[in-house]
Amino acid sequence: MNRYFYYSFIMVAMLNLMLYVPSVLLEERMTGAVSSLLVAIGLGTLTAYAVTSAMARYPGLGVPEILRLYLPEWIVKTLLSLFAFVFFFASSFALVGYTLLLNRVLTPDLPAWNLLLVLGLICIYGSTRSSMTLLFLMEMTMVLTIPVILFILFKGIRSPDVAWNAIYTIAQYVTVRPTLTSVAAGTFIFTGYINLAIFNRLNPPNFRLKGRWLIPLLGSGILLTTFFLPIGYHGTMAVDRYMYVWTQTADSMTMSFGFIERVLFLFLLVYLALTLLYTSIGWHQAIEFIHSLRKDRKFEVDSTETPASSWWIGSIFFALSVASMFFLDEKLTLAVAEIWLTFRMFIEQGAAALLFLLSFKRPPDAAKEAAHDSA
Amino acid sequence: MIRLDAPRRPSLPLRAFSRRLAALLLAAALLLQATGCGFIDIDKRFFVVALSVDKSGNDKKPYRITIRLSIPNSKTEPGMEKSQIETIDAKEISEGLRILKSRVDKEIDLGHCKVLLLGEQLARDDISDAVEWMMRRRDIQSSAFVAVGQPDGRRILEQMPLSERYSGNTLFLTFGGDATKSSFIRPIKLFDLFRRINEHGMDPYLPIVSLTKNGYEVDRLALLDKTRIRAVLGPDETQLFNQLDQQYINSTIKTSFEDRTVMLAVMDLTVREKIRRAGAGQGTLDLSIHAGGTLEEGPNDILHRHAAVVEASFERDLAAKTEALLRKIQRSGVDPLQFGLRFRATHRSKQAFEEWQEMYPTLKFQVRTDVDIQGAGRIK
Repeated sequence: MNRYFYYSFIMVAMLNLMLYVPSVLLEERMTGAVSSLLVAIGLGTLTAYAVTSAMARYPGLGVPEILRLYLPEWIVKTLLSLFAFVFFFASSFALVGYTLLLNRVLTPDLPAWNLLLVLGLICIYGSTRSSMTLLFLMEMTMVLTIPVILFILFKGIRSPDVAWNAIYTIAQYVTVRPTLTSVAAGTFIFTGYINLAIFNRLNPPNFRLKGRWLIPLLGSGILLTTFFLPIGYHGTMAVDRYMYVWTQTADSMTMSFGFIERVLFLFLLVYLALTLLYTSIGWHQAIEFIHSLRKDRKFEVDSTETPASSWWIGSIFFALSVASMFFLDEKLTLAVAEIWLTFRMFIEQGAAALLFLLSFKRPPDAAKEAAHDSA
Repeated sequence: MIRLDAPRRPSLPLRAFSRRLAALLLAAALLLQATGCGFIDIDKRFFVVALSVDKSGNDKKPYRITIRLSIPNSKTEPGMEKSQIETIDAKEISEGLRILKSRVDKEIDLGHCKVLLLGEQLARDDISDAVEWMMRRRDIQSSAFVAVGQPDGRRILEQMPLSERYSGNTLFLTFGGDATKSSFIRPIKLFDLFRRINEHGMDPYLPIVSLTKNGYEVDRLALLDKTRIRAVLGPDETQLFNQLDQQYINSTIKTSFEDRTVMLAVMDLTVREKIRRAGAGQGTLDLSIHAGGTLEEGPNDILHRHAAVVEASFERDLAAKTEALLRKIQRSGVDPLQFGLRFRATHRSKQAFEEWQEMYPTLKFQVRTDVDIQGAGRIK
């Protein structure tokens, strides 16, 4: 089970490289982003440690079940709806953002919503599978994509085109005070642990998460690359002029002896897989949260029959995403992203603190029984 | 698939079945729709292999855009390639390209355009609009090579080199570094040009392509401020530039000994720089160069009898040439060797760039060289 946690962690960290995190950070590169990165690494690691320790006390239980152990029903219901919304929004936003990007770079002649229809249908199918299936799906996708992404990153770092002087120049702005937006953007890299919210249900009773030192290591590695590599490629000034800075960075690399010379297409293909996976998993968890609003509902991690309600909720998510396409454009998306990143950091830190505090309480006997039931 | 002899499985409920059917139909409909528009077959496309932007001399239509279109050929033999050249004068570059589309029968595709040329006149005037346009077009590769065409870009594109196996390949190979590796060629990619145009403390340069009988000659380098050419480096200076900036090995350095030229093929090269600021507007650049290599030309028995003298002579000449090059670059008021960025990277000050700008015009250079003759080839 250990590896599934790290797949999910790496998936979220790597996905953010393509999304809005670099744009937000690079915009503030001289006004506090560098020190914010350090704060974000500390804060992100701390939250990840807190949540993983808290969840480790309740193997076999997801967040809805844990909350029910301690809190009155109306608080549980409010929190669950909030979490469902957050999961839905995060993943739909990633899907819509990627669709806009793909539309800009790969298929400019196609209307963007048209592309979203195809991608969204795949996500509906993915999100209505059982939790167990999704974990397997995650393993397969990550095993296929991680080598390619690492290849692109190492190729980028080793290239003589990187202006290290530009990187050192920006690194000197570490003395500027950190800002809220940048810290929020930075901590998003570490958000992978949040998928334990539902997937903790699959953990066996005596589960212990090993190798947690990987969290700060992987997280800061990816975060620093996300921020500094584009600066190396595009300098201290031009880096802010690009709409999609990482796509641009991938396009600046070439593979002379690859089957495809332009790294860009490899990059887009890999991120297509990652986005579909991320959205499927996000929607799936939102669906599960909505399901658990009903107190008497028994969750199933490996169901053979998909409940009709899953299809309905998935379709509603899909419809909302398509509808958002009609008023979202690239400019508005970036503005929404900034607010969203900050908003989600508070929700996440709050949820993490709550879970951590709850885990100090002695779990009532019901918890142990529930854990045994599901195991 | 229906197998009549198969045992009947309990049939799906009708609702579930119809739902599946509906989903399938929906997916099929979407897929058809998705491929319907925006897709043009490869034999209905014209691939642009190189593009040039010149000045036309006409004030109403200042830009002259030339594209070289590759015509597919069943044989790939040297000299058998065919190209079509299209030229147009227009007020804006993008408008010109759109009008060009109406002159050819297939859709113009810029995705394989790997060489972008700027005419010399344009480069001496202002390149920023042309580069901005190239960068903004999503289908032009950011890793395409940019160069100055002399006398203009159009004539470079019209040249059909004898050995070309497919259209535009000679230029791709010249700049790509996979085929010829020459210390006189200094390619620059589009994203790098854009970075240098925007950067504080790093100025752009462009290689100059000119015509020869059978092909092209690329051995000079144009140095630009943010918008136009300020100086042109000759072949020897271009090589030295390559050595200083990229520590380019497989290059040569030259000196003379007893009225004979002595050439050293450089096999290892280290260049270190340090900028010291002495006060407002004053500073020194320390450059230390270590070069080692084997002799390619020289007098008899050089290794045993004259090595020390020749090395000293190399060191003296290299230092003198380097300082002359640095002074020339400094006089032109440009900074392609990114000393300014280096200064910003090593000096913790909010006004680092302003300090640099103040001190660069009077910056002193101290060049220290250390040349090591490691061998003399097959003759002693």
